[in-house]
Amino acid sequence: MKQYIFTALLLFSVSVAVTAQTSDENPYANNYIYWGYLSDYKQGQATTAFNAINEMLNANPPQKVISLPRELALVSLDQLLHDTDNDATDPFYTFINNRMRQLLKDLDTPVTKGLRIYKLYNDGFIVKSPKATIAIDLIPGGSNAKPFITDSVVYEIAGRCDALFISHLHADHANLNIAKSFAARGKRVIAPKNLWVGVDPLIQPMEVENVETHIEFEELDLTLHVLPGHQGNDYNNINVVEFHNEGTVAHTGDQWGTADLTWIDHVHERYDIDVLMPNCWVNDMERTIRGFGPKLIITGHENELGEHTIDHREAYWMTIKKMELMEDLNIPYVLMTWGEYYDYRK
Amino acid sequence: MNNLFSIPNRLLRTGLACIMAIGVILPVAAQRKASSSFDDDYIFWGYPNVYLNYQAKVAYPLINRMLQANPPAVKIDKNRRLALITLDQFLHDSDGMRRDAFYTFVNTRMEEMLAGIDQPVLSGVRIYKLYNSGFILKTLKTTIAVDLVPGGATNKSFLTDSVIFEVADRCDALLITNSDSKHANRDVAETFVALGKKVILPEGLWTNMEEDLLPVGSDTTQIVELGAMRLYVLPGHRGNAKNNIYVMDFHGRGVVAHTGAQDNDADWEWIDNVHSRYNIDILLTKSQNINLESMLTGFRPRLVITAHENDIESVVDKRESYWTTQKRMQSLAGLAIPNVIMTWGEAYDYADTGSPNISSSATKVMMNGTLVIERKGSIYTPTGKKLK
Repeated sequence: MKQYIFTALLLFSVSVAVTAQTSDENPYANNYIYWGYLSDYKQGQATTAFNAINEMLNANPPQKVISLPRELALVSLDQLLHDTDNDATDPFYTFINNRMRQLLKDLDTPVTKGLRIYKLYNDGFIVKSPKATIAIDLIPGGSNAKPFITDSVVYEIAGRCDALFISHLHADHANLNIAKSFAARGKRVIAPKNLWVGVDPLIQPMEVENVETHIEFEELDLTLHVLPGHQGNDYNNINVVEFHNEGTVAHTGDQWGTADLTWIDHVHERYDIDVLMPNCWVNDMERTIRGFGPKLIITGHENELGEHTIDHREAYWMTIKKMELMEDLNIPYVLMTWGEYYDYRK
Repeated sequence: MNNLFSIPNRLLRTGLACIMAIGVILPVAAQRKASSSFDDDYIFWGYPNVYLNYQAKVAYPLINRMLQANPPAVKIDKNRRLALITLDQFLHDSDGMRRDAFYTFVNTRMEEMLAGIDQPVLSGVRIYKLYNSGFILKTLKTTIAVDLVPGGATNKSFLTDSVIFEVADRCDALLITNSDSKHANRDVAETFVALGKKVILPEGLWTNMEEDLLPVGSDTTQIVELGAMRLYVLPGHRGNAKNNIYVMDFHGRGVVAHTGAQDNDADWEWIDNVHSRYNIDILLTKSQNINLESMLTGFRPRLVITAHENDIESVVDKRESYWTTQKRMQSLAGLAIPNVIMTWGEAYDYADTGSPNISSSATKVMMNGTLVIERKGSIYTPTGKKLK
C-alpha cells in the first residue's frame, strides 16, 4: 500500500512539475527575468547576440587583416554555434536567412572588374565575374523538413547563378533539388562521377581521369578545369574555375586523400591560381597551399551544424589559429562567414 | 577434459584481459597525447570539452581587449555591447566556472584594476565594479569596499587571496549589506580586520568576532562617521533578514547608495521616499529586480550602476546577464535616469559638475620633483594622505 501511495505521489509531483514548466508563461518576461525559463532565456540571449554580431560584421567586412571587432564577432558566433541549445532555433534561422537576404540583394549589383566571392553555408561559394555567376557546393543545410536557408531564398540565389559545380556526393555539398532547379532554368550542373546519373541532360556527372580534364563555357567566358581529388574512396572534384582575364579560383571540396597530394604538389606548375578555397580542415593545409600556390586563401566549411558533434564544427577562431601556423608562406587569407563577400582583383 | 582446456582457457582469459587493458589504456593515452598537441593542428575531433576549453581560452582575451578599448560609458557603443554579450555567452555556459580560462580572465581583470587603483581621484568618486555586488568607491581621501567577496569555492575562489589582500590594503573600510554569502565573506572581513581596517556589517552576523567589527542597522536610520565619509545605514531587508542599505556621503565628492540584496515589500513604504531625505548621485543596485522601477523612483539618483550580473554560481537562468540589464534599463528609459553597465574590474569616474554634492576638485602639481595633489590650499599624496 505504501508503495502505491509513494508511486502516486511521485507521479503527481512529476506531472505538476512538467505542467508548470510547459504550460506557464513567464510572468516576468517584461522584466527580462527568466528564472525557471531557461529555454526562453537562451532564445533571448541568442537573438540579442546574433543581432549584435550581424551589426558588427556589417560594420567590419572581410579583409586580409582581421580587426579586433570582427575577430570578436566571429568568436562570438563560434560560441553561439557550438552551443547545441541554439541548434534549429528561431534566432539561428533568422540570423542565417537575414544574411542570405543581404547576399541576394547584393547579387544584383554588377561586377565590373575582377571577382566577387560570396561565402554561403558550409562549403558553398558564389563567384561572380563581369560575365558569369557560378555557384559551388550550394546547399540549404538542415533537414528537408526544415532547411537552414529557406527554399525561396535558395531558389532565388540559384536563379541569379549561371551554373553550379559540385565537388562530391555528400549532402553537405550536394543537393539534388537545387541541382534540378538549375537544370529547370536551363543551367548546367557539373557533378562528380556517378552522381545523379540520368536525372537531367543538363546535370553532368564528370569522368575525371587526370589534371587536364576541362570544360569550356564560352557564353560565360570561363573554363572549368576539374582535378581528380578524393575524400576517402569517394570522388571529390577539385573545381578550378578560370574566369578569362579576371582571375582563377580553386575549390577543393572535402579533399582528404594522402595519395592525391603527390599531384596536388604540382598544381601551381600547371595553373595560375588566384584564390584557393580549401575546406578549413583539409588534409595537410600547408602542403595543399604550397601545391596550389595561390595569391589569396579563403577557407570554407567552418561551423557545419548538421551531422557533426561540436568538436567537429570547425570554428572561425580555429581557422585563424591554423592560418597563423602558415604565416611563413606569406600568402594572405580572408576569413568570411555566411552571406559575406570579398572583391578580388588580379 | 578440464585439464586439457585449462591452458588454452587461461591463455584466452589472459588475452582478453590484455585486450581490455589495451582498450582502456589506448584511449586515455590518446587523450593525453592529443591534449598536449592541439596547438600543432587545432583539430579537436573526439574532444568536445577540450574544444570548449580552448574556445574560452581564445575568447576571453579578445573580450578583455575589447572592453579595455571601450570602457564604461553612459552611452554604450556597439563594440562594447558585443563584448558584453559575448561575455554573457561564456558565463552562461553551464561548465563556465570549471574552465581555467575563466579564472585567468577574472584575475587578469583584477590585476589590471589594481595596477590603476593608486591613481588619485581628483574630483568626484571613482567606482570600481567587482564580482557580484562588490564595488570599490574611491575619492581623493577615502576608499571603501562594499560587499567584497571572492566568489567560487573556498578551495578554488574566483578572486585569489592576494587580490583580496591587495584590495583590502588599499581600502579604509569594508561595508557588508547582508549575511548572504554572495555579499558577505568572513575570510575577507578577517583580512580587513588584520590590516586594521573597519568592517561595518549587519547586526548578528559573525557574532564570535564582534569585537573586531562594527555591527550596524536597526529599525531606524543610523549615522556612522568614517573619516571623510558620513555613512547613513537604512534598515532594509532581504526577506526577513537584515539588509543594510548604505548611503555614503563623501563630503563634496558625491553621494552613493548601495542597496545590497534589498527584497522586502514592507520596506517600500520608506524606500519610496528616500529621495526626499537624501540627494543621491549614484545608485548601485542589483539588476535582477522585478521592482527596479520602484527602486529608481524611490532613490531618484543621477546615475544608476547595476550589480549582481553573471553570478556564475547560480543556475544558468538565474545568472543575470549584461544584455538583460541593458534591455531592462531601456524599458525604464522614461525615467530619464542614465545608467552605466560595468563588468568586473572596470572603473567609472563620476564627477558630474552639475551635482550639488560635488563641490570642488583637486589638481595635480609637481613639488620638488614629486607629484602631489593640491586641494583648497592643502597638499596630499596621490593616495590621499595629507602632507600639509
